[in-house]
Amino acid sequence: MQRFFTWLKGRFKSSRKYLVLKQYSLFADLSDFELYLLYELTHTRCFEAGELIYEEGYPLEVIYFVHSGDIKLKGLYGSTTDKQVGPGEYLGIFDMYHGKKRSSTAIAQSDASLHAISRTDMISFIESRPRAGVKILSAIASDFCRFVFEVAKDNEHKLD
Amino acid sequence: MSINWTKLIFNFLLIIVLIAGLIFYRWVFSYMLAAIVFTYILDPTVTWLESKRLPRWFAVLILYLSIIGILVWFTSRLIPELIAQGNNLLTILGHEGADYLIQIPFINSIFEYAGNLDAQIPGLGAATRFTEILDNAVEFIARLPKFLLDNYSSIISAVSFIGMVPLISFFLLKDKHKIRKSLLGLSSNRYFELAIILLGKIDSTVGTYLRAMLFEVIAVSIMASTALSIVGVSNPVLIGISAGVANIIPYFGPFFGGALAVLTVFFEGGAFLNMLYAALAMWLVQVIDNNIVYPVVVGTTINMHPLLVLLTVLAGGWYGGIFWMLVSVPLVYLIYSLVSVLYVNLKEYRII
Repeated sequence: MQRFFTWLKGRFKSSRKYLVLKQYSLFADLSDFELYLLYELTHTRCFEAGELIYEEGYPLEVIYFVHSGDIKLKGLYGSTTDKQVGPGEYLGIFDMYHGKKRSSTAIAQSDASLHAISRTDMISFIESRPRAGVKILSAIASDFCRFVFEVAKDNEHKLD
Repeated sequence: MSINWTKLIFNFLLIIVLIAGLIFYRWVFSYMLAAIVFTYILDPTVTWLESKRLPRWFAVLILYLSIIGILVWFTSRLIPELIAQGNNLLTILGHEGADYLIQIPFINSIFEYAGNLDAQIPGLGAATRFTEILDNAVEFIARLPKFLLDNYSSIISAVSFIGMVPLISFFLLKDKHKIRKSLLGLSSNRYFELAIILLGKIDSTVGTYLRAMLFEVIAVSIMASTALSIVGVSNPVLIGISAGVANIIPYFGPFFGGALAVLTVFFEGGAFLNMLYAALAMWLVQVIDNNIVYPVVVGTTINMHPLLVLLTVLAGGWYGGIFWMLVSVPLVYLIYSLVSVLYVNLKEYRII
């Protein structure tokens, strides 16, 4: 009987796979339920080392979150130097608010696993759950500030 | 260039399996199609309930129970009335012989006029010919119940169809995200974003159109029933619902609803003024539908030129009767949208 109840409990207990999204700064503050809803919209994609993820100028429909592996970004915002993106980071959020086209080319440097969310799904999630939306947008603003300061610091170094 | 034989053989076997699968499951395509339509209509409510922290399977269950509750209420309150109205309508339309119809004042005046013509022109036989036409019309209508009896097996399969569709739809609704993920999982990385764009387009076009049409059917049914009750047409609910359903067919549907209302008054022996009132009531419903309901609810979902809509409905009717008249416009629009989205994105992703 005990075994039956354990089995039954297991049937109704969710697998909590959605917690994997906690590793991304954008979703770190979301509640378990919000993560669960977002995870339902997420797709896992695997890329082999050297495989093209997207090319500069492609339409932007998917935002990628790096779960494992390293990604090389070429020509980010007109830069001549490559940028490396690793686990916990994401690709496409800033482009989403800037022209809806890819501003760089992304290539998997090693075998990589990425979580992909459609831009349309993400926007409709933010609109339908404003509280979660504020958390996500705050995280984006915070990351954007950090990015701007990094660029400013780089420029300062170059001028020196 | 060396040929990868393993990959080639695998792809060949995959195609064979796919074809075999299509042949094996071909009988249930219509079930799947109807279940998908049902799913698209119910999905927003299930998603809303899910966002209120209900597990998806429980949300579907609650929705199903609510629908069953409404159907039970509808059956207990409205079905007996509808059956009575249906029988009444059939009695009116299918009375025994032309003798009954000749008693109707309007027809009687035509019959008398034909009799006068016969008196003035010997050997014309206009009255006899008129009676023959009426007899043929009555015979045609009287054949309807027999048709239903003769096709009982089709009716039974329709009942099983109605039973199976919600069951299939239950799983489609419950596992919507899993099914979506599996479908997109089939695409390669190169076409993944394109597949997401196309699936999104199908979702938005089909889902919005189906829900809009359902809303329009309900709105027209209620408006027509109310308008016909006000002008005193008998069997207003049945005629209203028939008009609402027929309204799905552009151009021809509204005419059917109006004709049914006017004919009912006509066969009941109503005065010409009552026929005019019935026609006016149905026209008013169409004015409200065309200027308020359709532009707000459906108009934004399908953006096709009226001439193309008319030609599509005609072609659908010639191809496969009423069913194709119903589905041809959304189907053509969906294919047109998909092809245009596909072309633009294939170009932008530099695939073509």
